[in-house]
Amino acid sequence: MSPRNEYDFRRYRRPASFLFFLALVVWLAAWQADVDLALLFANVDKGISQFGKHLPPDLSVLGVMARESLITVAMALLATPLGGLASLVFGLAAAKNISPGPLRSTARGLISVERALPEIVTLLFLIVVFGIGYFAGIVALAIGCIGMLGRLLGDAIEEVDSKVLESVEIVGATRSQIIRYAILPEVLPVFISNLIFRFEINIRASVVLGAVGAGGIGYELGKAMDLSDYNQATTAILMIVVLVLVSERISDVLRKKVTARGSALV
Amino acid sequence: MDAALSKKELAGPYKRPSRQFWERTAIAVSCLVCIGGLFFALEVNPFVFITEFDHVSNLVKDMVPPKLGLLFQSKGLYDSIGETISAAFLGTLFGGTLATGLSFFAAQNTAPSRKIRSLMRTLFSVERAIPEFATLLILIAIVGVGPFTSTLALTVASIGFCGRLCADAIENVDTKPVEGLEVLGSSRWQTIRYAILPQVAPSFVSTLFYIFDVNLRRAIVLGYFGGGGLGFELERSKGMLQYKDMLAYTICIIALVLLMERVSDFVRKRILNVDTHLR
Repeated sequence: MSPRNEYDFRRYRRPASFLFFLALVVWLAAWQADVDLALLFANVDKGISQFGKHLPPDLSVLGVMARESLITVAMALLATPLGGLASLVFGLAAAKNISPGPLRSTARGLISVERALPEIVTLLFLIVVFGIGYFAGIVALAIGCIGMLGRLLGDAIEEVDSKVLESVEIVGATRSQIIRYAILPEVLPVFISNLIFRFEINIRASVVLGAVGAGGIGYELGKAMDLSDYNQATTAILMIVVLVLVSERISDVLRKKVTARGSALV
Repeated sequence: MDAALSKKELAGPYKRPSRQFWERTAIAVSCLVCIGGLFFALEVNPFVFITEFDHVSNLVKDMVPPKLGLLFQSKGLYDSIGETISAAFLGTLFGGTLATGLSFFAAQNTAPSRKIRSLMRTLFSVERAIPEFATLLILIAIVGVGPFTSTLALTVASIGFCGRLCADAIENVDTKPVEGLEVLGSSRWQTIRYAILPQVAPSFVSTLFYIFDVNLRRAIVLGYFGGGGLGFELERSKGMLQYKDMLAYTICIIALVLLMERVSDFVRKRILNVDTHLR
């Protein structure tokens, strides 16, 4: 074997073994997830006729859908500040430069557990307790904020320059004064910007939670699909798309404003 | 002069509250009014949380201890975990592959024309705005319930998100290598292959792993709507009022998400390392 060939062989050994491994995993996953491409291709014409049933959107329910979207927005609007307040507490408890060791690790643990918990699961438990309705949805969304906002805030507080903390501490500030005069001014602009971003996420989440039973536009979509009212479902989907795109735009503009004003907020 | 100053003297002369103070009070009051008004408009009484707190303690009594015996006795649990992971993995792989391909049409520096670019960008953002469960419900009417439907829905759901992130990565490449090749008279395909692809490959890989993390959570949600896996088990145990099972599945979900985050982090670092070795 010439050295040249040996080099070529080595060069392709790694990608080849990687591809082989990937193919194995894909095959295993396809078997586990009952992937059945034959079923998919056999149903292509059914799929096309199904899409046909969705058209045209039923515009007579536009008013109802608009009202339900407002409910979805209201749920997100209520949940975001409540969740923000809760994550302020968790964020402060999770920062190692102001909270004692055991409290910090407890808070960090709770935050990462919450982050791993989909909102829908929280909602199911809340529905068992408070019944189906807006309230369970609002609380589920508010709890959902803690994982993301609490962690971001905790990290932001830990990054506050220790000189700032020391200079306030050295003149005899109490813990609450340290928080008020050294920490909040530093982290509040970023926190508010994150809160606005979370509002955008909450709008999407609120649609999904609605379909589970929290009410709003998601519930209307789920109901329309259940009743095979495909034209109404299309109206609901269009409404959701508009809602999400508009909220994205608004959150973009607001966040730019907050970043521009910066610490002038505090 | 008196040695001890009174508290009033220490506080200094009385100052009128500043304009800023009134501004802030006004903002705080209007926020509170808005929140109260929204609760009123939704006809929701937020104090239910306190007045009906015994329901919470009842539920806790009903669901503790969680029925962790499910871990040992039923093969079904491992099947549903496998279904959830598989749906997320395949959805990421299929959707991600499609999206990385399409993203070259959505990036300014590689798109064949400006019209195609804005068309692709619009498609991506509309797709991102459609909730996954809507896609799933439409697909269920076509191919029925199960993890396969979940896989298909996640494939579609990955395209918008992944496509946009990848297109942004392509637009942010260093232009010097691109110009260098173009000066030598390279074709569009050669420019992409030798100047752009090597630059964006690591961020494509990172994006795919990020999408996998997102898709794992989405797969659980889709399970609830009929996509199989852990979400479906959770829905069934709630329907049968088996709260101990429900808590056990919830613990499984948390453990799974935390574990897969670690695993995907590890694999991603491995792959990116190998990648830099090869180059």
